[in-house]
Amino acid sequence: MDLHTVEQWVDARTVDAWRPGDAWLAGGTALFSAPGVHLRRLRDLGGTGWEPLVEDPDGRLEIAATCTVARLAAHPVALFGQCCRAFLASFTIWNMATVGGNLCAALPAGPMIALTTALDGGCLLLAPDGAARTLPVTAFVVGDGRTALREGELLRSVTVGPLPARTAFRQASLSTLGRSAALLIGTRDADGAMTLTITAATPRPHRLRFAVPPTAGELREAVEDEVEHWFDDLHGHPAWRRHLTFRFAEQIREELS
Amino acid sequence: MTFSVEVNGVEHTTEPRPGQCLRTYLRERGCFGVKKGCDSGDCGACTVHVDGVPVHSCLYPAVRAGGHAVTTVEGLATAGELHPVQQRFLDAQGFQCGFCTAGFVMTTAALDEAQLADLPQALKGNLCRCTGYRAISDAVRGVTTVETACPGRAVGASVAAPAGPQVVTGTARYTLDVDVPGVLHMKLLRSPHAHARVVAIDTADALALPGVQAVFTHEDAPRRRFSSGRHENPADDPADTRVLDDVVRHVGQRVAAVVADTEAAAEEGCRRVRVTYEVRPAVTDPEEALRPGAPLVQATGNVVGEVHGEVGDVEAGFAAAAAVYERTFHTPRVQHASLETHGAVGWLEADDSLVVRTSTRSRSSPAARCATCSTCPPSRCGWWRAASGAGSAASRRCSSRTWSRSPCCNCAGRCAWSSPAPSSSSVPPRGTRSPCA
Ligand SMILES: Cc1cc2nc3c(=O)[nH]c(=O)nc-3n(C[C@H](O)[C@H](O)[C@H](O)COP(=O)(O)OP(=O)(O)OC[C@H]3O[C@@H](n4cnc5c(N)ncnc54)[C@H](O)[C@@H]3O)c2cc1C
Ligand code: FES
Ligand code: FES
Repeated sequence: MDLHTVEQWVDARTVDAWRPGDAWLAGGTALFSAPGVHLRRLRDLGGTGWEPLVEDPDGRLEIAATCTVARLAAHPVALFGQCCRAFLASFTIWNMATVGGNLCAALPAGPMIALTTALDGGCLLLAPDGAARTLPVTAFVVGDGRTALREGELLRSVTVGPLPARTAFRQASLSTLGRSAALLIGTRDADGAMTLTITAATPRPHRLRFAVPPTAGELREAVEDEVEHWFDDLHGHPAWRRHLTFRFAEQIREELS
Repeated sequence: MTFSVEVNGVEHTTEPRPGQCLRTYLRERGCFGVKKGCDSGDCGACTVHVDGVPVHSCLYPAVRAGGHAVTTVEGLATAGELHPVQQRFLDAQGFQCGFCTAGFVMTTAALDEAQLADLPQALKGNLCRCTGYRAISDAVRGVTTVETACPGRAVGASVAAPAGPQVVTGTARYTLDVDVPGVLHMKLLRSPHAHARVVAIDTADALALPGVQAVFTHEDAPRRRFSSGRHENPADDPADTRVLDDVVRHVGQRVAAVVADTEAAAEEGCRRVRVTYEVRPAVTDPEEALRPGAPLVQATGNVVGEVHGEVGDVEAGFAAAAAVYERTFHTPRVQHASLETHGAVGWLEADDSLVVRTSTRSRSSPAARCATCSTCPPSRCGWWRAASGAGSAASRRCSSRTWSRSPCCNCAGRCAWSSPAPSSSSVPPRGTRSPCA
């Protein structure tokens, strides 16, 4: 929709002091979908030219914040495609939406948050003065629509670890192909370690790590200890989300054990 | 750097506004085939191609289209030949009201083989209110369902809708698909309360805003009430509301209307109107509303009408039945989501007759009601029924289309009637556009 309060448009590459009412513009699929009357100026990341996907010799993959969901969906790794298809958004939105925009929008049902959490992603953040810091995704997305971003700070990229030997994926929503009410991902490394990522059912992402696959009871207990809140909105009742989480967690444990 | 975008092969250099989306930019260039169903990325009615890639133009920043080639449904046919997808939508009649069709055609035209094999996933970004998707999947798969009405076998033949060619090419004209030069825009300030009395409205700040032409409140509205759910027989429904009332009876009820040169100014004007409410106890449940002592929605009571009916003799039927199953059944109130947004355009003709263009399935009752609540005599009130973007029961009347929302056509009509309107025939008619969605 037209953002009527926006008065100015600047290329993000121009060094210009951050002002109240400024917003980074990535794909615009979240920004342009709501009135956002607080917005005065858009700082367009469209011209940054950041390489979408850069793999280092250790098998780590740096995903630029501006990498589109469509670009990621075309990646051969199955988990990437599974997570892209977990969007309520269609492929026509993937053509514009970015991975960074998904992390920064910080919706509980953000499948790029799920993906990068599961792969132990680290967020590279740049402050207006150029200072850089990194945060794990679980410390970057701190709540429903809330991130650790400071005023004017930019998410430059998220780097995910070498791909685990095996992954398992579970997702459910109230309607077929709908918005996730629970999205869980399990990973199993070559050394036997297992992780479980819980998203969508909770306001923020959670990641549990086990040196060896846990028993059903151990896993249940770990989830109970970890999750303090079950997310509640019209996309699913908290009790149902909790139920799905325990069910999927156990299925993933069995699949990866 | 000067702005330039190619739209259907034609170069445009008008600079977009900084926060403008591609959808409105294209419509301002006359591409009315680019529809607005939601303006938030959900419905796909606004789908266009940017360099061949399908995107939702309501989310696509217009500035970014600079240097690129945009194709809308109007540009899909080449050399007078329909695009194969347009032809297939005709052959299978993959539409009913046709409001979603341009978007479906544009998305379908961009699908590859793998996507065609999984239509629910590939088309989940396009919504259709009317077809149930069956006719659309027929169209996408190239099934032909239309028949020719041959002499002697015409009755019962599945003939094509006459407006089909316009629908698939984006040239069918719906309510707001019209360019009214000098049109003003109306936005409504709505009540945050379920029940309240408007004690005071301060419009000074809004009126001081550049571009704002008028602000209407209950003080400007006729005291006469009308029915927001009127049927053909006006006695069927009680006159329950004023165009702008000093009592609000639901959250979202219109409180003030701001008319301005641009939508932006009208919206900002709404934010600057200051309203003092005296909040009253509210009842929002029909059963509670019937209890003694329940807050009164209208001074006349909470019952507006009763309907009793039976077919045959129910008592005798029960008495004679071998078994009786008796329950109270509740159904939720469901409103189908018509894809066309609610809105109306009104203008005064050179002879001062009022024309209102809206999406409705009936002409006479909205015109009569508009005359009731503006001061325009019915004889001078013309009602233009444009192509209707998902008609059905909810667009039978001008405001039932909008249920508890605004009878936008009444507002547009009233505004066009009351705004400073040039009366000379040499001046273009001054219109008001009232998109209520
Ligand atoms: C129909 C539809 C369905 C959707 N379904 C889902 C869904 O299932 N799950 C979901 O999570 N989302 C969904 N979305 C929301 C949105 O499309 C996605 O979250 C998308 O990934 C956002 O990315 P973007 O690049 O478009 O972000 P933008 O809209 O450009 O930005 C989003 C926010 O992040 C900020 N931002 C963007 N990039 C950066 C950066 N690099 N550094 C700092 N701040 C930044 C912006 O200022 C803005 O506040 C849906 C949207 C639509 C329209
Ligand atoms: S998706 Fe753009 S108008 Fe609905
Ligand atoms: S034909 Fe699809 S919305 Fe009416």
